[in-house]
Amino acid sequence: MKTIHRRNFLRGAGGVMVGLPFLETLAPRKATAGADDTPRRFVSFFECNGVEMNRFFPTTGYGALTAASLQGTGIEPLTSHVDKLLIPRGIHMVPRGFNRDGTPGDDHAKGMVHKLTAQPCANGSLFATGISVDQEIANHLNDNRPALNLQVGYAGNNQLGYISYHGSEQPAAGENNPWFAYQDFMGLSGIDDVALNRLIARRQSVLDLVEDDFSRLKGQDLSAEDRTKLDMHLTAVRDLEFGMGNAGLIPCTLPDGRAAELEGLNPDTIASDSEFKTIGRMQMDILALALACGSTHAATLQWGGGAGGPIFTWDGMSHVYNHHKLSHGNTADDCSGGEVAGYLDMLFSIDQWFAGEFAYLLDRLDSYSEGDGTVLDHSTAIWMNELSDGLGHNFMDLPYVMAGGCCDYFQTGQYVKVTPLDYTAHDQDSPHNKLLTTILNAVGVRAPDGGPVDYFGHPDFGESGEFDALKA
Amino acid sequence: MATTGKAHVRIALGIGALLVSSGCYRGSDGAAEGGASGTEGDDDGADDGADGAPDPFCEEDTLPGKLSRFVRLTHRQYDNTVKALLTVDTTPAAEFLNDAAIGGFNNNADQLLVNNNLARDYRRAAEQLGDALVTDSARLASLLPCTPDADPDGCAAMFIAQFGHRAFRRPLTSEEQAQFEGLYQTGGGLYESGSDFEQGISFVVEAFLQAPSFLYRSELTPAGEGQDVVALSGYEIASRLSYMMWNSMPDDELFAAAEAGMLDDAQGVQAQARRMLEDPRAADPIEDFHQQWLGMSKYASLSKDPDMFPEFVPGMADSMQAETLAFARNTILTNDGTFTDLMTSTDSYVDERLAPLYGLEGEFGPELTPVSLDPAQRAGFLTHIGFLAGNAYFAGTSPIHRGVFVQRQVMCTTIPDPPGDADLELPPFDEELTTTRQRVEHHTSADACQGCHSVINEPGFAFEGYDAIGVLRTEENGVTVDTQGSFATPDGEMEFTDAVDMIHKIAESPQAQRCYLTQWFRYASSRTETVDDLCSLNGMHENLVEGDYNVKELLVSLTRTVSFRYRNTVEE
Repeated sequence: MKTIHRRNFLRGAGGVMVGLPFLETLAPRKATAGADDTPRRFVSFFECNGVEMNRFFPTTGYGALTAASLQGTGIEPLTSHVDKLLIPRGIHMVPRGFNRDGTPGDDHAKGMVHKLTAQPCANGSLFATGISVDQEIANHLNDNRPALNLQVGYAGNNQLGYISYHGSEQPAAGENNPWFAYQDFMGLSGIDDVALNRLIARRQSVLDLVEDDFSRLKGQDLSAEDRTKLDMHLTAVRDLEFGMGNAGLIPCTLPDGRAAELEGLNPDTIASDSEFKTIGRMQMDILALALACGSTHAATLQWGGGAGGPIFTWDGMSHVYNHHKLSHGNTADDCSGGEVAGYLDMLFSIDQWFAGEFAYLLDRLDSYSEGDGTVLDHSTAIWMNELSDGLGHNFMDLPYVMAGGCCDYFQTGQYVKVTPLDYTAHDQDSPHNKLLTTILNAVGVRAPDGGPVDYFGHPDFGESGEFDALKA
Repeated sequence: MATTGKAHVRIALGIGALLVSSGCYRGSDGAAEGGASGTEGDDDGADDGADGAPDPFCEEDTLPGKLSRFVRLTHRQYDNTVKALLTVDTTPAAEFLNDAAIGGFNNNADQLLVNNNLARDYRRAAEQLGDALVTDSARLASLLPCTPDADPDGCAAMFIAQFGHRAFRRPLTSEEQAQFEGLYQTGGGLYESGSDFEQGISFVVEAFLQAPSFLYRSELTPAGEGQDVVALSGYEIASRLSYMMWNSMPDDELFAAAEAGMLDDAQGVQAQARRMLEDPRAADPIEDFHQQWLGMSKYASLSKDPDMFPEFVPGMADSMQAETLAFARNTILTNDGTFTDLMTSTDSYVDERLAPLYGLEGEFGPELTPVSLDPAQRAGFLTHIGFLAGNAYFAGTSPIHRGVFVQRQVMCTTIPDPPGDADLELPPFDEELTTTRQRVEHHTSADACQGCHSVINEPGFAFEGYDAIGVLRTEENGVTVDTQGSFATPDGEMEFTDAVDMIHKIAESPQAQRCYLTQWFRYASSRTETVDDLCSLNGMHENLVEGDYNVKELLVSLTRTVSFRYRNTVEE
């Protein structure tokens, strides 16, 4: 539970509201970024339905990556960032798919639920039974703000719709409206002083009322579950007051023209796939800004949902079937239709398209300078996928593309085999919870004793330790 | 009891896991103990003894099922409540983040939480509603119980007492009254336009809409010393009734009944439940329940082969859903129908898109028109275009999907998902395998598959007389379709010649009736049933059987249980 009520701090200012966005005045600032102070961040760029495995990975052997390594692969559009890439190979998901660990859920459910949690699905709801790595990072580093979760296109509200979890069976829905997401952390910037003071006064009085109402409800002899539920809500309301950011050196605002485009988006297109690319670019602008301006240390960007995805009809693609159907090479989601001729080439095109979008995100992160490098240099942004080969719902040999050194925690420009086995597509190679543990340490999360984190995920399925071969 | 060779996946579907060790045969309800017979009439009076409270459906005093004391409004309930409170036609919850669903229902109290972005959504909606109200003098005046001319502060106090009573669904305490009067006083100057009075009133509304006592149905009646079971107050019962029967707030009559103590006994609750079912608002939960139970949200993303099915025109998903919703609404509310009617009635409601698929001649427009379908061809919602097309492939039927739906949703049979490495692709048509039925039989013939597929495939085959968009067919690839079959149920082997025959038998199956009751219990109670509920459910089931399973009676029964009128204070 929260012990610091920043609300009291606000009152301590004399209860007089000043004509400034108080969000900025209250949030901790790190004005002088020394090496140890440099914020380090994690981004999950999350795709569903797997990739065209035959043409995804670098064509040169393990070791240094060059432009030639990516030529003709699904990740070729990342060539301009090749020096900042790190591609680990030989990682399988835990708990494992194909029912090898006897945990609930089909392989799409597992692919979505396990990927950031390394926890099995719950009996019944099939939601994750534990927290995800992005929220774990936020709990340690974000100063009471949850991780930023953004969604592009349609994702349902069952286990196939979520990758981020606040805790056991507490899925965190990704915001799919870029304008709302932007407003969350740009706060009240851009409003004139008179309107701002009015709004602040309204919010402060309402917060007083809401807090009093909560304290009346909590005055009862409540069950632990009910108390937790009310505390969660009250914490969320209090955190709103402090906005989502302005902790860094960069103002949390986009150029006016771009902000107007966000505001002008037709809300009817947001939950569907009709503006998949347009909204994706907007969400990446917001995500990069949120990291740069100190709003969050962890962010996820989820494209579509498990067993779904759009019909790609842009950037040279003119597909008739959606991503999930193509991943099975079939005209029907359940594989009972006919084969789609040339589906592997279509999947390859989709991979290259996502690689291009990931390159766009890396460009954005690289465009913000801070201290001795860029936001990308101080982050680990990871393109990850629900599955490897979508056709078989495969959980082995997962396609991960990492970018950014996270303040020299990682060696970059490398293609690294992390499994001791010769063969990477194996369910005894290296469990993915070790990557999650590595990420936690990379961004600076510490174990309770102050040392490195040794394990993340459910204790029965993974392995302890980090992927040392990825580290600088 | 047949057992299956193996349970592929340890997965629980609600109470199934509690009562059934594994496999595909017995449903949750089939394993329940035989219930006590209904004991009508002896359910009056609140006995708050430590052993539970009287339930009209159980012989012994019974503990109510555990439910949170703070059940948040669903997004649908939020919209309906805001409309009723502010007399404004708006749906702010359309922009809220989705709630997660459990067991297909998005109103499970365990998932009705407020974290990060939903708190922001509530604030945004309240601020926008406040901004809209302050600029709409006519509507603002219409919400007032008085005119502010002579005594604006007195009028505001009256408004706060009256509006607060409705927003919190109980009278305000004097502390709350004073607090909102204070907010009214500070409201002047907080908006861009409007008089001080109008701004004060708008600010009060904006604050009410963010208060937890508005956003949650709070049940605050305290427990006495050592008391395991607490009788809910009249106002708490009123909210349970209105959000179950209407998905909206109580009306004046229900509030009056609560205030007069008329909801303190089962008779009074039952009388209100019956009245509320005759109100148009009763359609909302009927539609919401059937929409979720029948999985209609997936209709919108259906696609069918345009070459094979040119009549499956754009907008068909809307028509499919509208038909089945109108059918459920009219069968239950207008025609006072039974479970059998839902399963077998040939009354339906079609528009110009659907009519050709049913082979109906005549003029049809964009609106739904009542029709009678041929009873030899159709029977209830399981032969609607919605179910049949929604549970079929792009270019062909899917007996497996249709069969799984019948077993899971209609028979409450526990069916695990297929193992992760199962080959989901049916073999192609060839000289041996000329029909879909043959392909499915061939593909699922292994012993490891048969544990489940012996009960999945057969009910699915019954529907082979309808193609992938639900149009009647007698042949597939020139071969006469085979729609005969049989499968084991807790009521005995069910043999049938085709879908219409099977559906008529399901309609009379105690297992299916009991399953429909269980699904409604989950939706109406915002929770999954537990062993504590079995006695009530069994007794209710027996009562309903005697009344031909009238659906309105089913809904009324759900308000008569000990769980509906009491809460359980025992800590786990």
